[in-house]
Order: sequence, then structure tokens, then C-alpha cells
Amino acid sequence: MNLLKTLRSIFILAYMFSILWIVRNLLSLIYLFFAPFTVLFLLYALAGSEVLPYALVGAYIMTLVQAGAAIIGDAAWHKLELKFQDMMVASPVSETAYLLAEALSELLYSAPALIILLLLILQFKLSVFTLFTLLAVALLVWLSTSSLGFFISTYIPNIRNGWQISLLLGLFLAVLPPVFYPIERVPEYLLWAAYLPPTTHAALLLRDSIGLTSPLPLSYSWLILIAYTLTFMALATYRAQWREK
Amino acid sequence: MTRIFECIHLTKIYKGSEKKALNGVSFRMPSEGILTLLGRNGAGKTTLLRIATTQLLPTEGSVSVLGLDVVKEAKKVRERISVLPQEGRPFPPLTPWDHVYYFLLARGLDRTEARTRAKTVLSELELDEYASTPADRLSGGLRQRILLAMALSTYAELIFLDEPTLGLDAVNQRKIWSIVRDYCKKYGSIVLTTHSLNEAETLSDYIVIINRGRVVAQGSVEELKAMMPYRFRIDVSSGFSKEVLSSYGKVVEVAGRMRVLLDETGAKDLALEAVKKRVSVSVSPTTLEDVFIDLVQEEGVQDEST
Repeated sequence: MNLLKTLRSIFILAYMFSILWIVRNLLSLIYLFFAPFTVLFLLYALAGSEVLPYALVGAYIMTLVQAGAAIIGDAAWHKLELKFQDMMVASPVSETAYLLAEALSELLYSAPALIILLLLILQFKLSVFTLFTLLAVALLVWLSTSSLGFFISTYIPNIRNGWQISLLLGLFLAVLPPVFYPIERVPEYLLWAAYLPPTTHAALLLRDSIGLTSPLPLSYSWLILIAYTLTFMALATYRAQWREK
Repeated sequence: MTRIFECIHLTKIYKGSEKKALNGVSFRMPSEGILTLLGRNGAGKTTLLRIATTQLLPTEGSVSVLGLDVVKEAKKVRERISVLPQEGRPFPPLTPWDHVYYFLLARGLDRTEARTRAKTVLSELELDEYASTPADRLSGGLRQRILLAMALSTYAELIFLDEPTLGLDAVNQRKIWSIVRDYCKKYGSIVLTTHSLNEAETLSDYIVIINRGRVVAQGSVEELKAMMPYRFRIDVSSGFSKEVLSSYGKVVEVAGRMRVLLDETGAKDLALEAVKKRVSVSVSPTTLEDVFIDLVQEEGVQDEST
């Protein structure tokens, strides 16, 4: 398959896994659309408008992490229950194209919420730099978590574990780290752990783009985020083999 | 002439296991048509099919599909085959049309060709009246037909069907048999796995019987039947002891009844004896089932004694 045909296959499979599902079954979109806004509402109700920039950045990253983590359950479901992956193996579609289609489909589910969150964040600082940072960070977080999700999905023995680990990954990447709250709140002895997740650096970069200063040089955060993305992509590509041993 | 499907000394040992799932399997599909891999559950049929469809690496030996090595030329093989996996399921909210049309687009067909093929195949599989109905509102038989439509719509030169009628009622089974036969006449060859003797006897041009990872017999239905020294079977429910029946032929117990496998003379003698004793018996030619049970039982006995 040449590059154009591969891209076409990616978009068609992603369309089949997401848009077509949403069109035929609107319910599948509702949770993903409302989840980040319910968290926003909760934080606003508890702490008022001054936490809104943090809450919006957190909701934006959480939505991207959810999109990436959802691949664990969905890819395992397509493989173990529907056996759709078996049908794709015996076809001209490559394993990398299939992986990207799975990842893109999850992003499409989250797209409505992401667009609204992006517009809300831009209300704090409307600039090309902010827009660039929002899009670049989104791309890196989506690629890294999707790759990690796909990598994990290849080890999942049954579908229930898939959904559970997907939720767990969401907690570890979007709830526990300083994604919704300032890193300054983290006790000093735990700072090393706070700086470990890639999502901490995504949050620092986004906050900086809307005027909230980061305690870490931004170049470090960019480098760490890119390094995580490349590592997770390499792991996913290594495991994305059609043929089992 | 291109070898459609051939296995040479194929062996598979799964990681962490010492048991051979396939043990030196060798056979060749002699011509175009339908080849059936027949065996009990766990015989190794699906393992063989997964190796042939490039999903699993063999431990030893080789498999050639359409003249291509499935390990070294996997990409080329994938472009020319299609597979219906065992116990697959369609996407619940998507319609039969969605499944077939978008599957064809993803495989690289242009829109016009995909639309034409989807229409043709859905009509051939009598799914056209359900074309816009979500899969989760269709019966099990129709859902299985959606997956079959996806596999057949590729018009691949060789299609692998793994237990295509598993769990279906007799009417749906026959419907699928007729679809598979028609496809084979029009488009390409089929490799089928099944444990249904009826299915194998009805559909196959060539049968490979697998037991405990080994080929125990192969040939056409007629060739397999000819391998047996017995041409007839007589089912007896009463009036004869097992010892007496053994003097006429080979006795096997089937659901509490005695079944005697015998040659023509033995069949005549036993039938006459039954008439004299006024005992009701049923006489019929041997079937693939008799061959299969005979072969698999013998294999079992040999295995246990070694």
C-alpha cells in the first residue's frame, strides 16, 4: 500500500470506529463530552473563579489522556471480542495504520469537548503562541498516551481488565499529578514524583502559555514531553506486530 | 501450476508449552475448490489457520498460500486473502452496509467499486433487506452473515473460514453452505475449518482430518470413505449381543445402540439374521462420520498405548 492509500485506510477505519458509531449511537459521545465540564463545575463550585485557569488546563489534558487511555479497552475489545483485528491482519492494511486508526478514532470522540476547552482557554490569553502551545501539547499528549495505551492493550488478557486499566491510567496521568492544581502545592519530598508524568510537563507548558509562570525552564518540559512521546511510540510500534510468536 | 495451499512438516509449539499444537502437518490442496480442515475441538485446526493467514509464526516447517511463503512473503499473502475468524462479532450499532462498505474502503477499494460489491454481496447473502438495520437488532444467523459478507466481498483468491456455522441452527447452516458453494463457483477457493461432519461432507472437495495436531487422513469424501474396509453400517438396538455382532464386523457403540460396520456380505448376513429374529435394524451406507470416528478412535488408542 502506498502512503496515500495508507492514510486513506487510517481515516476510514477511524471514521468507522468513531464518527459512524456516534452517528448510529449518540449515547457513546455523551459521557466523553460532559466528563471534563463536570470536573470544571466541581472545581468552580468548590474554589471559585480563581482556579478556573488551572481547572481548564487540567480538563484539557484529562480529555486528551482519556482519549489515549481509552485505546486500551477499545483495541482489546476489537481484538479479543469482535475479532476485527484478525480480519484486518489478513488484509493489505498495515499494523501501524491500524494503530493510528485506533488512536485517531479516540481523538475524534473527544474532539467536541477539546474544541470547546481550547476556545475557553484562549479566553485567558488570545495569541498565536497560546494557540500553537495548545495544539502542540495536545498532539504530544495524544500521541504519547495513545502509544502507551496501545502498548498496554497488547498485554491485556480480557476485556474487563482493559476498561479497568484504562481508568487506572487516567488516574495516574490526569488526576494524581499536578495537572489540575499548581505544582507548588506538592510537598517538597514528593516533587520528584510530581515531575515524573509527562502530563505534569504538558500542564506546565499550557499554564505558561496563558501567563502562569512555570518553576521549571520551559525547554526542559518540551524536551521531556517529546522524549516520552518518542519512547512510547517506539514501544507501541515494537508491539504492533500483526503476527504473534 | 501455483500451489493454492500447502503445508510441509508444519509444527507449532506455543510459548510456555511443551505440547505440540501441530506436529509435522503436511498436505497440499490439489486443485481449486473447498478444502476442509476437519477435527475435534482442540485438534489444531485454528492454529493451522492462524499460521496460514499470517497471524502466528510456525515453530518449524513451512506454509505456502497461493504460491507464497506465509513467513517470508506475508505482505503479499495478506493482499490476496481474506479471513472469517472463529466466533467474531460485528460492531453492535453499525449496519450490514457499514460493515461491508467501509471494510472494503479500508482495504483500498475505491468508492464506486466498494459500493457495487457491497450491494452485490449483501444481496447474494440476502442481507439487503437488513442493510440499514444495526447489527445488535439482528439475529445470530444474520450477524454471522455480516461477517461472512465482509470476508467474501473482498473477492480474495483464497478465503479462510474458521468454523463459519458454529452455533447456528440447521436452516442458517444450510444457508451459509449454499453461499460458500456459490462463492467458490464464481470467485475463488476456500479453506474451511469445522468439526461438523455434515458440513465437511456437504461442502468439501478435499478434506484433511486433523487429530491431536497430526494429519490422520486426507482426500476427497469418496477417497476417505474408500479407505475404510466397511461399506455399510447397521444400527441395532436389541436382539443381538456385542459378541455375536462382532462376528459380522466392527462394533461401535453410538448413543446406547450398537453400530456394526461391515462389508456387503456381512451386511446381507446380518440383515437376514435380523429378519429371522424379527428384530428391527437400520441399514445404510457408511458416511464420513463413520470414517472420522474410526480414524480418530484408532489414533486415540495408538496415542494412549505409546
